[in-house]
Amino acid sequence: MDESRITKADIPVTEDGVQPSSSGGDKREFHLKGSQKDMIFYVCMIAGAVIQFAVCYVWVNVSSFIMAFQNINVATGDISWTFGNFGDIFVELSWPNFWTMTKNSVLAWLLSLVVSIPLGLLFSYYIYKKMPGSIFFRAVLFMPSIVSAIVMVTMFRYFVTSAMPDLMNDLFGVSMPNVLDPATGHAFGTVMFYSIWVGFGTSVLMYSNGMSGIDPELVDAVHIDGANGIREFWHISLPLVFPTLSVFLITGVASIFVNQINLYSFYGGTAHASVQTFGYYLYMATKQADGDYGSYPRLAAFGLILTAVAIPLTLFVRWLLEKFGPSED
Amino acid sequence: MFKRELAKRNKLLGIRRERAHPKFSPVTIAMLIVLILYVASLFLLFFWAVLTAFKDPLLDFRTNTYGFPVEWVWNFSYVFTQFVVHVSTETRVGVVGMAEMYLYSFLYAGGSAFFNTLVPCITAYLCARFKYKFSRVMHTTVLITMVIPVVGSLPAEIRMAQSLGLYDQIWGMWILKANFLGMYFLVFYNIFKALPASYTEAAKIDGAGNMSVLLRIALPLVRNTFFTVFLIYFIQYWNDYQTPLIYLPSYPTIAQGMYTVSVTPTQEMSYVPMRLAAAILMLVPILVIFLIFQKRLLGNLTVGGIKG
Amino acid sequence: MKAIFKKTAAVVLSLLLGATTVFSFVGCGGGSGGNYTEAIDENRTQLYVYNYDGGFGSEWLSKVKARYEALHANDEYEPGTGKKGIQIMINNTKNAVTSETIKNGQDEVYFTENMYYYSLRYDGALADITEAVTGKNPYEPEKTVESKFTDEQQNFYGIEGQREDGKTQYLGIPHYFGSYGIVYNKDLFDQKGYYFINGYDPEGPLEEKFIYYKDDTKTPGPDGDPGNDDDGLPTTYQEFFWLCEYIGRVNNQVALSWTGQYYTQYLGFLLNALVADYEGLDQMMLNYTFKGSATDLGTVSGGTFREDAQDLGINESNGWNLKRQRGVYEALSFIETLVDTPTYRNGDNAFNDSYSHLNNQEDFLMSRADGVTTPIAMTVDGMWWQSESSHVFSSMASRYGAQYSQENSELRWMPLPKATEEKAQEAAENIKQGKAGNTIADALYSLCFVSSGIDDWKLPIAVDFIQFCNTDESLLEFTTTTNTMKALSYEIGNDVLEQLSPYGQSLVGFIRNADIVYPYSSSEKYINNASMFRADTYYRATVNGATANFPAQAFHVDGVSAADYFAGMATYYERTWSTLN
Repeated sequence: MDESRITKADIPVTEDGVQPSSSGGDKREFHLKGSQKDMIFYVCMIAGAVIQFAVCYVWVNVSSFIMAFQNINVATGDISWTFGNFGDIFVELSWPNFWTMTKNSVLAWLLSLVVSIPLGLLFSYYIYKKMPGSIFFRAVLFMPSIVSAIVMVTMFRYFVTSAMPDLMNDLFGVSMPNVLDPATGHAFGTVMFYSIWVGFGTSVLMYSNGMSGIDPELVDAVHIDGANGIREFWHISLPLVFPTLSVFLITGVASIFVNQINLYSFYGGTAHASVQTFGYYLYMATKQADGDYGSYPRLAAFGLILTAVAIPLTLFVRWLLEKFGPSED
Repeated sequence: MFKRELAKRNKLLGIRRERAHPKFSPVTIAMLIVLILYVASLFLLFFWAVLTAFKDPLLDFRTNTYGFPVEWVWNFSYVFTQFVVHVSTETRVGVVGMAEMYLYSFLYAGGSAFFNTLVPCITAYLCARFKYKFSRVMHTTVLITMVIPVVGSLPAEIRMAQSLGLYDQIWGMWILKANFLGMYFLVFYNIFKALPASYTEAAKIDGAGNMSVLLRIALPLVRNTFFTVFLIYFIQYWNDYQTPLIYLPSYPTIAQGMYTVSVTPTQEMSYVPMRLAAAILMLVPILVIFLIFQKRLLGNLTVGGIKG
Repeated sequence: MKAIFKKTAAVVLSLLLGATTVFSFVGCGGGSGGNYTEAIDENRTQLYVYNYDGGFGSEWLSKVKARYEALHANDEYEPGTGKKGIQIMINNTKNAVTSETIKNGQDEVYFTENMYYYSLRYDGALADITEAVTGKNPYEPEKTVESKFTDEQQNFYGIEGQREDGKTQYLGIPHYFGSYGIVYNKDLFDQKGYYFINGYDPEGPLEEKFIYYKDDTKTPGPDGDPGNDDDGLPTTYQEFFWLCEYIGRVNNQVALSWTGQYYTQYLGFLLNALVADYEGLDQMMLNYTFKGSATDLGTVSGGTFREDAQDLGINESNGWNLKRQRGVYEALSFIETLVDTPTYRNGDNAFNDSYSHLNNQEDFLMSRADGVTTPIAMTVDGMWWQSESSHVFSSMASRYGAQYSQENSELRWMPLPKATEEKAQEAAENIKQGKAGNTIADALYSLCFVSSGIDDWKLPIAVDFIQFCNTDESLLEFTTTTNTMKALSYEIGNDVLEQLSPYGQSLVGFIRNADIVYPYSSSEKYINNASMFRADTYYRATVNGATANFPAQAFHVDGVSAADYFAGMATYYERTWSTLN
């Protein structure tokens, strides 16, 4: 793994808009004094975080890892070791379900990639350029984020399946289908629309703040060279929000395996197979097995399989971004 | 570098900086319309929720799903009395009402958010400024833990919390949440990494110790980011009902109260207007905080490149 | 930085104080519901009791508490402390418990739903209460609690040879039971004549199958005995659908309603109830015991069920064959017809995600009086549904008149129709002979136990309290209070029946004529996969290669036929059987 590449991509823009040099001349100077004192300070300060991590993360999750290889006999209390759990989950799930989940999970990720992110970037540029009403929009766009998901989904669901059909019927005499019912074929679209709709404001704000670090002089310079808004956006704003963007792109890959696109809030444990994602399946199955120890190992094994796919994929995307992502130098 | 050269050239040419004024180009207007529509959709939903909260559940909302209330009903005081969680633990037995839940929410969300911001911040500082091999290990650990979906570790986690005496203690949750993992470690890391060493070196030459450099120079530099991350976490923990539900049986929070209300299978609290009234009650304090800190929150919210 | 934190702290604090003062005085006025506000009485010994506050409510426990406290008012439990008497502290809550919360919580005696007995035991959350089950009951010396168990309950709850003395150990006992079924609006049936007329011509026009005048003679109904309340009710699936057709198409009313939000579960539980009713106690229990001979397995071809030539001896390794029981196919067909025929059900609400079971109850009840809602003749719900909608009853009574109160409402439990005429006749015959004519499937997994965290000196008190809760007197009190029954065998006399509401009478009367399937067994296969054998998860199928979890959903969303789903169930369970522990 090439550490230096990551750090370069992640280097932020400082207050004055200048990307700091990472050529570390002065840093070396700093570390010349890296004496025992520094070492002691470092160890003391970091120890807490490391211990917390070891206990609250590693220790806790090791049991989940081990469980994937166990066969628990609740009746007798015996535990035996097996690799069978890894195959069992696919038998139970069946391949068509597995492919549907893969499709939905990837689709959800792609939609966020080609819809959410570009929309976020585009409108963050709007806010950044202080176009009409941008201050107002900035405040309002963040609203959905402060309402808890459970409330937001409830409101949305009731509105879409109860108030809106009534309204359409009374006003226009149109009978609106139940868009959350998978039988109408609109369910996945509706759930995805909700995800994008609810996340829109947050992504706009994230990028627009990333852009606000851009040096106005630079923008002017491009203007003088005859750049229009689009060129400015493409050649200056975009590269400068790239550190923000890359964190999103990298973590986005992981989201393929954990994102349950609010399905549990919408459908509880009974979402139809045609809308399920990996994240939902795992969450729902864990809920369903709640308290039934015999069923845990299968799920732990499935989680482990997903992890095994997610880690290399994430590292690969990071590598890609570093290799082919825009560089300013 | 490209930018610097450009700026230099501009100065040489005597071109003065000029603010680019927004113009009403067709693209701008199209974008404005989209934004207005989006905001309208948000307002519509909230407006509907407020209207609904004022309807009589049985006699009005059932047949009048979108109009104005036939008769404005004050559901809130009833909701308030029903917004309770029954507590039965070794330390206490009784009914917790909304006022107390607000208190626990502030303590839980405030403390957890603070430590969950402080620990990544300091760890990131250490990793970014001290070039030990271990710092790299920490950085990679953060990246890897971000992609691991964890399954079925809840029982183990509860056992851990119990054996360490963190279970059912608000301060215990602060420790539980005080990990350095997650996106914001990367954010702090990037900022500290970007600081020229001279910032801290000068102080060191003046005889300041590592600790005072951290407290007097490094932390104040990232105060805005710190505050932003704190608020983001605060909102997250404010809305988190799962952790308190499992780990704080003696101290139900407002989000947990909301959850309890929403899963009640019986009686009046399950009516939509009642639930929305409850949601509004839960929302008000957080909305007030948001409005007070709006500028600070929105001014700095960014992930890859928060300003220092 | 300091200034900022100071400012934040100040704002947060002032907000907090503001909120606290504003809300604390508002909060004072409110009743909190439940008994938990009861303060600890320092002069008495406390026993903490958890009660899952679901459809059965908590009134029954309050009554037990009152009697128990009065009985022991002068007993000393903690000698030397000066405390006298006992105080039952009831914790009514919807919050589910886990083995961790049981071990560490304050509560000592638990009355729960949806718990896995063996998993709790595996986790060490349960105390040994053998004494309460097999020991002499001080409140009822002639009977032990164990004597009220069925054989399978004894096998399941009693764990052999676990005690130091080598005897069977009990760590928990059954509490109540409940099933899903159909409730009908008797007023509407009377008013519109939704009863079959005696001697109707099955081939004749639909309208002529039903009574026209109030004094027309009805068919004898499910019990085959004319002159009682069930006269004229449908006895077979065919009659049920004729009735639906008559109500929905001819009279433009809603024949049968159910919740759209939870339709997968409610119709799933109804399906399970129909299967149990078809198969009867012994055959149905094979699904959990995997021990015995299955007599009606088969396959479906060309829309007809073809029974296997031979019976099959069932064991833990071939248990999947039970999904080929005829009752499964018949019940699937029944549900498919309901799902696929819009005039039989409550239109779009039946699949609407915001139409909860409570909305459904509201509509069912309000349609009798509000003049706006289309009248609903029947609804699918659990036996305990009335306590869930008690608020609707009370507000209707105050708005529209006393006849809409819970006590006065003419709503009845409907015996499930039988798949075939032979089955219907057989059931009627059995009832006449005083045998069970119906079979009920419990779907609640309600369990009573004591936490392993209880103090040693308190365990005998808990044991005593559990024995007290399960005397015949307490069981009957439970029935008259909740209008339902506990999951133990006890006789309900006519004098008790008369104390119940019309609905309660119809329900308990029905239960008296029924066998009850308690869906658990001591089979290791069952115990190790308990969550896979629940009524709502035990009807999976492989349809077109993919796994479908819920029959009703497969019918509604995927348009699968009952025959295909039936075949798919055999495929699924044959394929996955070996992956079960």
